[in-house]
Amino acid sequence: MRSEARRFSPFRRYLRNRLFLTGMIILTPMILIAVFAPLIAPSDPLEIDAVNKFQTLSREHPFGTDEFGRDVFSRVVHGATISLRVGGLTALFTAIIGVFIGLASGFYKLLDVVIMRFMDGLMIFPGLLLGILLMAALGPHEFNVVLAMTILYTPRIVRIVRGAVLEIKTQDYVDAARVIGASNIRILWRHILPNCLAPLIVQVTFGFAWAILIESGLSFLGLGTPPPAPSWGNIISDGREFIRNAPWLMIFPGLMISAAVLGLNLIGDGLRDILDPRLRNTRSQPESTAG
Amino acid sequence: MWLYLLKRILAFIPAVFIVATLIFFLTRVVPGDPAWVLVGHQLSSEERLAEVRQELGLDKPIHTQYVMWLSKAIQGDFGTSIFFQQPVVKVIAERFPVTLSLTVLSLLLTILVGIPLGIFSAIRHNTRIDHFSTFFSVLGVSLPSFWVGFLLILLFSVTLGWFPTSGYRPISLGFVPWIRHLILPVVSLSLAEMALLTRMTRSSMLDVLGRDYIYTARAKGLGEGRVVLKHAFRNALVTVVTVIGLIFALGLGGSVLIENVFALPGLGRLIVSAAVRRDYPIVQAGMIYLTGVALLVNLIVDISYSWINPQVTYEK
Repeated sequence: MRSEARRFSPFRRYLRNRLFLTGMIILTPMILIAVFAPLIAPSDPLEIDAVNKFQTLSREHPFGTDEFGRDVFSRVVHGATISLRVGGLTALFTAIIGVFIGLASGFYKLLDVVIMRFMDGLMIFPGLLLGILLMAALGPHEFNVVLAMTILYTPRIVRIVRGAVLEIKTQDYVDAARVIGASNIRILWRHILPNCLAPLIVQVTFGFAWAILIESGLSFLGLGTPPPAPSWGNIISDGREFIRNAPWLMIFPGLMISAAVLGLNLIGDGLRDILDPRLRNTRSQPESTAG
Repeated sequence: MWLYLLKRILAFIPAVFIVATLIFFLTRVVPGDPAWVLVGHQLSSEERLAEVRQELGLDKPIHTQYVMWLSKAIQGDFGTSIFFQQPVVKVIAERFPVTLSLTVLSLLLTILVGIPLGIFSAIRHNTRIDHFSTFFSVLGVSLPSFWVGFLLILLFSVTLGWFPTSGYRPISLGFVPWIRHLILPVVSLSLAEMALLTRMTRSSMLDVLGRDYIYTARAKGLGEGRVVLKHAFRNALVTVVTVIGLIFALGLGGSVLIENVFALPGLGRLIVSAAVRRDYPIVQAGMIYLTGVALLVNLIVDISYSWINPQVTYEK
């Protein structure tokens, strides 16, 4: 009995998925670093030390120091906090807004035409371009980065949710609920939303990864999180001039971005297999910025 | 078919119009006075500023400015760059070939690598090659392209000295210098594109290879090569072509980052510096060019469906 129960426990289903497990192994330490950054970082990421400029890797400075003598290891550690916070908030906001718009669009035919036209309009812009425009308009601020990326990514969530709603709407149990007198709101909330969750969670995970990549790209262009905040994109941007003599300035933050994004993409792939095997190889895909 | 073509081409026009309108108003809510940029901070007397604003038409209400701008833009006149003091169209024309070289070469490389790798990993499903290509395709979309660009510079330019670290030579100065300056940017831009195309080719091939007509083709005794290329790939091609259109648009966006890394004098880099300088005529026109190209590629993709799959009919 017990072993039977264990085999079917949902927890084990997650652990047995190799993609999900690998992603978690990569991401969990990142989250810990982000949360406990002040305890892990040996020094203040903004502290300038003019005497110790461009130190190579050493015991005191595991990732060396930059052109202001700031400890790169401390900056990279604090960068985890910024990047995961920006990415996580973007994922959260796109999920909330995307669900509302997606449910409305899938359920009410009249709204659908207007909403989807607007969403298509937002998706016309290739890649980063709309982000650059929005950031130039909004001005560099961490919250503005979240706002701009939320505007960029919400259409994708809306599409996923809307697609799921259109499919679920025709199911017998929705008709049954209506026959016994359930209101539209109740049908949406109790019957349709829970059945949209699987593709939603998968897409939001990819969105989290996407947001970390885009934030780093915008910061690299000088249009993201404003310096001197040590976001990973900023550290790379600062280090670019010194690539010949101090390549460590950009290698480590880049490794962190890659690892965080890879971890999240693997988790997304894993979740898709676990939660909704029908979706395999179809709708939700990791987003690339090609950037 | 012809009616469909006409419809698609006609639909292209309002799309460009909507984009242009969106871009105009987004660039104009930007805080910061372009007149300041032009006059410079040192000698900015109030009269001079007012004069410049009048020259640029900034003293008029925004909707008047919009109508003026749009009617000129339709005739191909995007005004004068505030920073360069040159016609916007001229500034853009100088930089457009760079961006086009970068993105088209990246697309070619992506197709050359992505499609064979995708097909190969589908027919060798669950072998080591398949696992490798799956891993490559997840990794490829996870690496920031601008960072990959720096790594390539570090290895191939700084350490090995095989390629120049940055800059651009037009193809008119010879093919070899042109391609030498573009190899590293193209590779960094196409890494994520290849990953996407490999992944999508693989999954649509896997889907098609499980269909009944593939069994039939094999049962007829057709060679494996013929089954894969003629029967399977031809059917997978619809998905693949869609993805190629998507990838090209992504590449246009990604070129902004790559042009910055390699100091290529392209359109993407121009737009970013113009956005920082509040040189909005450049930003507006540059965005419209890039988005217009993306829309055009989309149109070509749509039209090519009928050539790939004669079953697709366009009656609505």
